[in-house]
Amino acid sequence: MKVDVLDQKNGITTIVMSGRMDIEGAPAADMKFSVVAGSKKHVVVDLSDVSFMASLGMRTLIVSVKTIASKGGSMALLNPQANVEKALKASGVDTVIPIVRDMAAAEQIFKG
Amino acid sequence: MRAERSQQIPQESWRRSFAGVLDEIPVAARWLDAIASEQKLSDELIYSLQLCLEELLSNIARHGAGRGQGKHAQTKGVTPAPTIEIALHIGATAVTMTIEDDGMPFDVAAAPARRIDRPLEQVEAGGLGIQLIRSFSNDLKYERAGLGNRVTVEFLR
Repeated sequence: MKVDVLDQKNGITTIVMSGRMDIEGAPAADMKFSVVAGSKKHVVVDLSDVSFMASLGMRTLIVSVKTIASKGGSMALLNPQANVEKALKASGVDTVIPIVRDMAAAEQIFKG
Repeated sequence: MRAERSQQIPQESWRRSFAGVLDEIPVAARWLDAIASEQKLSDELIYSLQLCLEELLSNIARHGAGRGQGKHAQTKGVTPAPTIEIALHIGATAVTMTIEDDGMPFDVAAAPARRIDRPLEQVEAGGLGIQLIRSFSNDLKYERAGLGNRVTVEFLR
């Protein structure tokens, strides 16, 4: 699991991930998510290169969005692959972290 | 690692034993992926198999310890780790994955599936595995048989 954190000029932080958010990948991503969640307000998680997500990966997302929301911030999930999106919807994760297709849609969410 | 196969009769069933510890889950996932890819199962079906495998093995490794008496019983520390047997059968219309373990009895088919359906501040992280298993399989059965717990998951092709 590769995780890159990009701070953008519009005040949005993007977490770009690639690989599998499974029992190996999720713990490897936890530290970076924890740092971002503790310090940033508007976070987009780019899932376009994430090929697999199990419940442990969703746990990482939920823990992070709860931290961000407690500070008045929000998170969005960008472009998940079809099977990953199916899993996010089946578990209801999409009801607390919206799925968006582009950055413009994420910005609209962050504007409230 | 590939399962052994007959050289004359096309084999449609595979079986392998694993220790019921978290470190073994990626090993089992690679074993399953090798078979599924070689059998040219669809990407969607492979995803479903992998997801259900990870969730079921994770449950066993996290909650099943304490009763296992099989060959992997002393793999990790003093708490006996369960032994897990995975069987995969690939048929013309369905794929069946059977997972047995000798850990603590747990009826995964009767366990409540939790889906996030409340405001974020009331949501607990974790606990979504059973909902995912039900969503990505076509049938889920549990019985006390074989090593102890036997879970049979069916996926239509």
